[in-house]
Amino acid sequence: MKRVYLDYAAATPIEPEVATAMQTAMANFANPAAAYTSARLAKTELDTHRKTLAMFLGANSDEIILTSGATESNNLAILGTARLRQKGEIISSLSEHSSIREPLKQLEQEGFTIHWCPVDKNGRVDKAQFKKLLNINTILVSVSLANSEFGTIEDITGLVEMVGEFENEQDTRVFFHTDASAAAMVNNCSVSRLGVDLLTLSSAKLYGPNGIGLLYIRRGSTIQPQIFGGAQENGLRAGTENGFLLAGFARAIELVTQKRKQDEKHFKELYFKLANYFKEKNVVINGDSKHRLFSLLNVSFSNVNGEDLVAYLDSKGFEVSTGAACEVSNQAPSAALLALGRTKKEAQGSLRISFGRTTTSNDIAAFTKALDETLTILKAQQ
Amino acid sequence: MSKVFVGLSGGVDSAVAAALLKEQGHEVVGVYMKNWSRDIAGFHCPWQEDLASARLVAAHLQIPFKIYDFEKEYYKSVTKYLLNTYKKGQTPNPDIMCNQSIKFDVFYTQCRKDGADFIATGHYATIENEQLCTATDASKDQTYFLYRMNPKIAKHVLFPLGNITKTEVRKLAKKFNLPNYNRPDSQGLCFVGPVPMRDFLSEFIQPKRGDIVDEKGNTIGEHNGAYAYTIGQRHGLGIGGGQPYFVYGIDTKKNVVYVTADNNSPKLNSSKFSINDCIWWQEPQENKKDLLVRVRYRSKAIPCTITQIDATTWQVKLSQPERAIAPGQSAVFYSKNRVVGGGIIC
Repeated sequence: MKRVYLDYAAATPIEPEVATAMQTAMANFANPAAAYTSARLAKTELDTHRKTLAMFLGANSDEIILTSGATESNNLAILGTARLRQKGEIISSLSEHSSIREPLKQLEQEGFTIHWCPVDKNGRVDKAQFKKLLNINTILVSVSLANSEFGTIEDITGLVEMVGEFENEQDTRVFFHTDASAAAMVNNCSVSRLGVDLLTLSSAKLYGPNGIGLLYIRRGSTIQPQIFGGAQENGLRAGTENGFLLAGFARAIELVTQKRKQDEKHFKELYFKLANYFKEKNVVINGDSKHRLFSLLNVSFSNVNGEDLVAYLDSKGFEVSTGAACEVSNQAPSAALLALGRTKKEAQGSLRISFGRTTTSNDIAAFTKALDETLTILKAQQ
Repeated sequence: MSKVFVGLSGGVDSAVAAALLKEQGHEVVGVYMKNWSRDIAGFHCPWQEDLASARLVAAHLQIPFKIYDFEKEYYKSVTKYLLNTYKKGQTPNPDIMCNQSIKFDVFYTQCRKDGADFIATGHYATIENEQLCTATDASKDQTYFLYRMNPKIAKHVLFPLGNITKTEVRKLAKKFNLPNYNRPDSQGLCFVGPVPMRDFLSEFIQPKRGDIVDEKGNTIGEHNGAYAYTIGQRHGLGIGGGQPYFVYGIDTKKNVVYVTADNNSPKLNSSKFSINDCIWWQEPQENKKDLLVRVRYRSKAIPCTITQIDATTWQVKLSQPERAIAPGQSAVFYSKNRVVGGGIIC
């Protein structure tokens, strides 16, 4: 059976050019911290690739901390900021990914106050509420650039401005962190444009290898390391750098920049084709219709279970998910979809379809046919 | 055509059972029973993987899929029974209890309420004329675990795998193209996953140091709680010196474990024991000629006679001594391929 993968928001394949770059980099295995020639060569390679990553964000090389992926970057940003300050309040939103939510819950246990700002029906942070939550004890704001579950792109610049005004009025300092993992494929992640202090990026969502990501930390923004050991990554993340994962990450980032225009056009074509299908069927499309990722589409059915849909589609060869892969296994309705005002039934009846560079219009047509058949079967069972 | 609710565990057996029923033309509904979801002592409880697998099977067979949540009932009737039995120094059998009070009680009741004519499971056993009988594949026969199901509901129970072998089940799983055809059989505690019993117990019962005493009354070692030992047990006594010892007695009140170095000690072997809390599929007869008994799963069936002591207690005499007869375990009686009944060894 031909299988059609439509879960690129969960994981992307590795581009052949990325694989080649990794293969080449594997030849030099020396520890870049050592003093001899091959180590120095490894160090030079690291510096080159780090520069590539920094340029993508419009940042300096010394502002890039390499990590094992978005989850670690988010943990480092949140725990590192809070624990250095020892007390204070943090604002996040109700629709965040578990790699933001869980470290925040941990901090709650450690005595910090966490405010979960409501979102509007399109999934954007409610600015009036957000403003009310800012206070003199606020030390950190963490809001993702794009939601990986339903695709809404946040007005980060607008929120950063509000925080900036507040900082000026109160003569205080609030760190702003954004997870840009889901957004980076198509959206500009320039840190000067966004104005954030901390930014997360993951290789695994950008056709690069799994197991590597980065945290951008603006110069002068001090945080506490969460992994201790050697002095790598400016002393903020101990552990020998992984040269070949980094080579792959850097090559993947270069390809993102090169292919951005054509990727965006391609995703939009597929998105509108699929969105029209759902509109004709009167199925609710979650998230903002304008400020959004066009590489994914999240819908809610009020009368069928999303997990059942996923199982039936799998048996027909189509690979989709009910939402963020990290959330799927807990069987609870998606917190992010509930935050949008979906009913429990609708949140449990959700389906996320996400496209990749090689997804075709025919794939989408075949998918909608399989979905039609599945819905007919499931309705007959009721 | 009848409406059959099949308990889908996520494993191969119940999936094949469902597929066979569907092939026979029944209106089949797949049900996943959520009995336990807690991780224990660093061991991951695989219920989510099991549930996902069960759901894929239902989708593949295009049968409706339901989830019944019996966590509360399970804790009340199986987990508590398990802990209390261990605390008494006896060896419980949670699988038997789960069949008695969950699968063939609350699950059965809920299925019938939801419209089932029959319930079915992937057990290896058969039912003939409302009597529980052994499976064709003797090496997989599970009647030992099933004897305590309520005989009154037998006419509403189907065991589709009763007349086929495990090898055939694996082949059928492939033939039906079941998504879990190569999933390994589950191991360890049925409900918690691959957790050693001692690690499971230590979550609930406070470890307490006590003596290990030999036949002569000498203290020869220490243990962390007599409750965690089983009659006949050889390993894990924590006694150095290389010589193997075998548990012949457990006293949870004094917190003492009694051992012997003699594997053939009469203390380890007996040909007489009592049972109570019996369930009879057929009227028990004191002088029945072809009566056989099993004192543990897969042990050899031994010729025996039974004598009633009082209203609830029976004495069992074996034709030959049997090793490690553990109080708390079940003795199950057979006449040819029929289950006559059984009780708890006391």
